[in-house]
Amino acid sequence: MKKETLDFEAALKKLETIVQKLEDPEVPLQEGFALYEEGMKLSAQMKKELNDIEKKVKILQKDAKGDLQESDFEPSENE
Amino acid sequence: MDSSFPEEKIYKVSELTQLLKLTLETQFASIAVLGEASGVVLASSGHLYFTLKDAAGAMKVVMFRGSLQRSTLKQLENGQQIVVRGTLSVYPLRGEMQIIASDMRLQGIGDIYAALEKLKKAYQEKGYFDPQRKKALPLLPGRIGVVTSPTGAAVRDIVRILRRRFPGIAVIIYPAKVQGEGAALEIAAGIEYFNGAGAAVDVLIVGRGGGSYEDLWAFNEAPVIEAIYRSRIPVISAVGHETDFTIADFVADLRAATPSAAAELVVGKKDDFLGRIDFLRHALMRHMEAAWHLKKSSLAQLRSDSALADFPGRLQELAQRLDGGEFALARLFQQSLNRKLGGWNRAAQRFAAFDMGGMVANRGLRVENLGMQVASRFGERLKLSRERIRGLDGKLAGMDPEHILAKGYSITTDREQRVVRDAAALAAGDDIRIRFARGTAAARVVKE
Repeated sequence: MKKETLDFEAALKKLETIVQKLEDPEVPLQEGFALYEEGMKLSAQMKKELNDIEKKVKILQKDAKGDLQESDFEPSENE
Repeated sequence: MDSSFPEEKIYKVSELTQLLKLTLETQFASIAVLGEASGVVLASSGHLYFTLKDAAGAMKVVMFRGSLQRSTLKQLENGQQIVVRGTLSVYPLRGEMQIIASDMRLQGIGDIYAALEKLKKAYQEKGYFDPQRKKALPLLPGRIGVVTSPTGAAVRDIVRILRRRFPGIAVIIYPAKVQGEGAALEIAAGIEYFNGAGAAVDVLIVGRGGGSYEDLWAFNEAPVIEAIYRSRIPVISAVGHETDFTIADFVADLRAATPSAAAELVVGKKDDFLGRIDFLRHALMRHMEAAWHLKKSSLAQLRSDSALADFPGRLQELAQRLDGGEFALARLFQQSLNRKLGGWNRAAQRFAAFDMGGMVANRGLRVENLGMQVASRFGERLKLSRERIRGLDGKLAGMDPEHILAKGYSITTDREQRVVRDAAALAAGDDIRIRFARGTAAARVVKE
């Protein structure tokens, strides 16, 4: 879980670098193609990861042994 | 008729209210009154109206906008015990007695405030608030830890806002008592739990909703301060209202004005993340297209690019494969037709025994006709494909440098055999070669 987010931050930076490189008109066509393909692949992966995030709100509760366990949490409407 | 009471002074109402006002304002020019605020109303004019009361009495209070701006306490809430300073007066239009307040402060706040300042100074000297100690928040937290009361408004606001900003984000709540005896220890235990193994959170929100200074006190206590100070995970403090400050706010990596604000700070909107990626994708496409056009416009590049130079060769290969396909298909078709005809012939022979020969022969003929129709349609389609390919070949030939040279254009190259596209690349005296449709000529640049 933690790794996924670190990947996202690094991936965004990488994608921005690729775009920056491709911006340069002196980049040879062959290299430009490689950058373009890498960027499109990476961004598609990032979008998928973002859209796939489907987690829940959990709360910690003590079980019979006194250990903390996670269970689903829904805040009550009234205080 | 004479008055029955000639000696009695008869006041007009306004005279009396004015007299009362004058008397009160002189006699009670500067008073301090302790009571509980109720019916607090901040008018659109900026004046504050409320009633000050205790168990056995009540008094109307008005604090005009200018005084409110200078007041020690600026945000008054119902139920707060306060000391109001001001002048006793009368509102002449209604003949109502009221206090015109010049200042108000929370009862006992003086002591609390002094203690808070002393604490703040002590921690500051220990380096607990050093800016270089502040940890950066993750761009996209995989999981957000929250230490707060599970029943308060704070947790409700945080969950609601996080769900709105980033549906599906993971949140884990450590339920803690946030005021009263033992609250500080519970809050500290929560922060320590999330810093322990297995909790897997990337950022922490520690806080509670609004309350009196006493209610918020746990966030000034040593266990909470130490736990935030030691936390490896970045901590956002979210205690009370905008105007409330606690030591936790200073030692935290980021102070949010309210729990709602903490939820806004902890993660960007999902749509913004997606928007950023789409923006970068479009930039990629734009740059690629621009690069492509640039290269395409250069003839020499077009010829030297292996993929393109190879194109006519690929077309030939394709045409050959198509031809091969044509034969194979025709063969298959013939085989299938033969099988069918064979079947019909066998059937015809059998039927002939029943003297229906004429009829069966007719059917056989129809099948043969059908077969020919299909074969001719197939041939037409093949012809069309071929023509399309020939068209492409023609277009490609148009791009051939030889073709363009034939139209009267020429190609200039420099000493290194590089194609010259820009006169600025040449200097007077440079040797160049000019290639025509037929032959080449050596030349020298006379003038830039």
